Amino acid sequence: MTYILKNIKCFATKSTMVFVLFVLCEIASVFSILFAHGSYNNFQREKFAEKQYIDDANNSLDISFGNIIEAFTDEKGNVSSYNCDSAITVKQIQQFLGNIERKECRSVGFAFCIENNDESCMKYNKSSEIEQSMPMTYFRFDYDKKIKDFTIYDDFLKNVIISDGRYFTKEEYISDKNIVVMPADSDRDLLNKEIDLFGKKYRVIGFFKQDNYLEVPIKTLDGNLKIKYINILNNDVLTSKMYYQIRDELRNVVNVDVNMTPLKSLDLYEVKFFDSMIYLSIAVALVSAINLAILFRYILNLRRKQFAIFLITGSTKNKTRRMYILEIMLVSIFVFLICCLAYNFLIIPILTPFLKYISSAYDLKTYAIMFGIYISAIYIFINISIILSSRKSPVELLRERGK
Amino acid sequence: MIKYGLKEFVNNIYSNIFIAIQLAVTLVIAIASVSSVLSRTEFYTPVKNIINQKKGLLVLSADDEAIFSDEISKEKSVDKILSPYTVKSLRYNFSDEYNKDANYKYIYGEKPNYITCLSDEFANIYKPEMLNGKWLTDYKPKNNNEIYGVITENPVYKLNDTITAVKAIKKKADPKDEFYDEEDPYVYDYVPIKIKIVGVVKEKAKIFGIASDSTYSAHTINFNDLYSTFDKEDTDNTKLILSENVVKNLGLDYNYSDKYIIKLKDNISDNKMSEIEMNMKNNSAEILIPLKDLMSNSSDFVNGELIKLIPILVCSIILVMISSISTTALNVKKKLKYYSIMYICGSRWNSCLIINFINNIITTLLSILLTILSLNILNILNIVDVSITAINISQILTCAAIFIVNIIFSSIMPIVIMKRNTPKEILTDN
Repeated sequence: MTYILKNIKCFATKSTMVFVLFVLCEIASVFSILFAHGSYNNFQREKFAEKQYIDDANNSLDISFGNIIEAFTDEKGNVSSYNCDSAITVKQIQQFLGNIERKECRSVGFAFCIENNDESCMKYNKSSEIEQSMPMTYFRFDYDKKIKDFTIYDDFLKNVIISDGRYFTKEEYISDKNIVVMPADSDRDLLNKEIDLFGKKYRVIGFFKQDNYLEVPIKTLDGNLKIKYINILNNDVLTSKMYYQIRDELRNVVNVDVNMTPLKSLDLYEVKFFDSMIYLSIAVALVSAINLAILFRYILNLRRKQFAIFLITGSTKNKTRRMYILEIMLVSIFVFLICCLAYNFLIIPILTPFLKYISSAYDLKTYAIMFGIYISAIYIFINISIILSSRKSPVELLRERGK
Repeated sequence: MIKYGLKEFVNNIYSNIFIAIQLAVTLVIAIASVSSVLSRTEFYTPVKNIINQKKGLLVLSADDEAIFSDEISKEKSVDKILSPYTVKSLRYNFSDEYNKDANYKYIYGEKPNYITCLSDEFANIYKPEMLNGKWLTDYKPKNNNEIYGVITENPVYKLNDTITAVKAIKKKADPKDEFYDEEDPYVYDYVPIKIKIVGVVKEKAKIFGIASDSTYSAHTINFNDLYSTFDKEDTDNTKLILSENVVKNLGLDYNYSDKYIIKLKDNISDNKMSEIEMNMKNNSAEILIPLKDLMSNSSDFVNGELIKLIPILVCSIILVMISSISTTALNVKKKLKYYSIMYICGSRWNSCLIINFINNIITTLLSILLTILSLNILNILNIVDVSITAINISQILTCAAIFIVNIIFSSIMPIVIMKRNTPKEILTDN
C-alpha cells in the first residue's frame, strides 16, 4: 500500500499535467454517467406518464346519442361525457354487437344501463332512502372466444359479490331464460321464487350483496327499451381503428348522431422527443466511457518504463499488475465517491426544476450498482490492457517507452 | 508535408481511429442536442411573426362559420384575416356505393366531406410531414387548369388517385314543374370534378390552421392550438385541400373557416378591440383569444420546453470540451518524442506542427465520415426520429465549431509544449 501511495504521489508531482487531466476527465465522466442515468430515467418516466394518462383517459370513453345538450368535462378540462337528447334501443344494441363480431373492435368491452320504467321493479325495492325512480338494470358485455358471442364481462364475473343464491353463468347471461339477480335490499325470501317483472315471470336466482340494481338476461327485455349511454370498458389499449369502427357500426344501426368522447392519442412528436433524449443520454454515457478508456490506455503506456524496471528488479507481472490496478482504482474510487456526494447534494437539487423525475432515479441501491459497474468496468479494462502489454519482455517495453 | 502527415496517421492508426470514433460520437451528440432544441421550436418558429401582433385576435372555432365569416368580412377595423377556406359548394364522399355508381346527387348530399382550400401564403407558413407526394406549394401543375389537391392519410384515397368531387349548380325551378317546391324553388345540376391527389399528409402529422373535430379543453391556449392532427380511420374529418388558385379557376365560392387569425388595424383603441371581441362572441365565435395573450402564452411554453433541455446541453458541451482537450493533449504528449527526433534530424518545429495539423485534419475527416455513417445507420434502423438526426445549417455550424475547437487545441498545445522545451529535454524526459 505504501508503494501505491508513493506511486500516486510521484505521478501527481512528476506528470502534473497528465494527473490533473486524468482527474478532470474522471470527474467529468463520472458526472456524465450519473447524469445520463438520471436523464434516461426521467424521460422514460415522462414518456410512461404520458402514455398512462392517455390510457386512463381512453379507458372511460362514453357514447351517447342524438343532439348534444351539454358536454361534461374533467378536472383537466377534457370532455368526459355528453348529455344528449336521444338513445339507442335494446334491439339496436344487440344488432350492433352482432355486427362487430368479426371486427377488430369486438375485443372492446361495453357497459350500459337501462332505466326501468316498469313499475313492477319498484315493488321489490325495499329501500326508501334512494331517491332514484327505479333500480337500474346494468349490462356489461365482453366478447368470449369460447362461446363466440358477447357475454358477461370476465373481470366483473370474477369480482361480483352475491350474498344469497348465485350470479348468472356466461351462457345464461345471453340466453332468453327469465331469471333475475335482485338488488341488495330485496327480500331474501324471494330466492328461487317467481316474481313479476316487465310483464313476465322471472325466477330469482340470487341477490347482490351491496349493489341496488337488478340484472336480467338482455334477450328477455323488450327490444324498444332505451339506453342513453354506453361506456367502453377496455383493459387493453383502444386503437383509433377500433374507436372509429365502433362509431361507424353504431351509425349503421341508429338514425341519430353518435357522440363519442374524443379519443386521446399520444402526441407522436412528444414521444419521438422523449425517445431521442433517452438515446442522447446513452450516447453521453458512451462518450464518457470512451474518454476514460483513452485516458487509462495513455497512462498505462506512460508507465511502460516503470513497468519494465519493476520486472527487471524482481517484481512479478501479477504483483506489478495488482499495484497498477490498485493505484488507478484508488484514485477512481475516491473521485467517484466525491462526485456522487457532490451530485446527490448539490447537482440534483439544481436539476430537479428542469427534469422533474430525476431525483427519484437515485437511491443508495442505484449508486451502489453504478459504483459496482464502474469499478468492474475499470478493473476489466485495465486488466486487459496490462495483460496485453505485459506479454512483451522488459527490453521491448523499454524500447517502446514514450511511443 | 502531406506525405509525412499521412505517414504519421498510418503509424498511429489504432489510436487515431479511437480518437475519430470518440469525435464522431461527440458530433452525433452535438447534432442531436441542436436538433432537440430546434424540434421544440419547430411549430413555434413558423407562426412567431404571424401571432406577434399588438392588435389581433385568434378565433379557434365558430359555431356558425358562414355567419361568422360574413360578419368579420364586414368589420371595418379588420386589417387582414389569415385562415383556411371551406368550399361548401364542392363536396366528395367516402361511400363506395355512391362513388362506384357515380351517384352525384348522393355524393353531394349524403354525409359528404367538404373541401378546404388554402392560399399560397397560408400553405407556405408550415409544410406538414408528407406520407408521400408533395405539399400544395411544392407541386408544379402541368398547366393552369390542372385540378389537384392534397389529402390527409385515409383508408381509401392514395397518392395519384382521382377523387370525384361534385359541384351543385343551382338554377331556379320552373313553377309549372311537377316537383316544384315553394320552400326550395331550385333545381340542382350535379357536375363531377376530378381532383388528382398529388400528396398525402402523414397520419397524425400536424397541419397548420385547419381544424379537426377535436374539442378544445380548458387549458392555456398557445401556438400548439394552431395545429391539428388527423386520424387515418376518421374519414369524417379527412381533409382534402386544394390550392386557392385551383378553386378560383373552377369559379367556386369559398368562405373563411377553421382557425382565424384576425389582424386588426394598429390605430384602434383597446375599448374598440374589446367591443370587437364581444361582437365576435355574439356572432358565434366560441373560443377567442387576443393575439398578444397568445404570443405571451406561446413564449412561456417554448421557454419552459427549452429550459428542460439546458441540463443535457450543458452536459454535452462540457463533455465535448473535456474530451477534445484531453484527447488532443494526450495525443500531443505521445508524439513529442517523435517530433523531437525529427527536429534533431533537421526538421523545424513549425514543420512538425504542420505534420501534426495534417494528421488532425485526416482524423477529423475520418470522424466526419463515421458521423455521417452512424446517422444514416440510425435512420435506416429507425432508432431515432429523423428530425433529431437531420443535418441543417445549425447542426453544421455546431459541428464546425467543435472541429475548430479541436483543431485549435491540437495546434496550440504542441506549440506551447515544444516552444517551452528543447528536444534534448523532451527526449530525456521520456
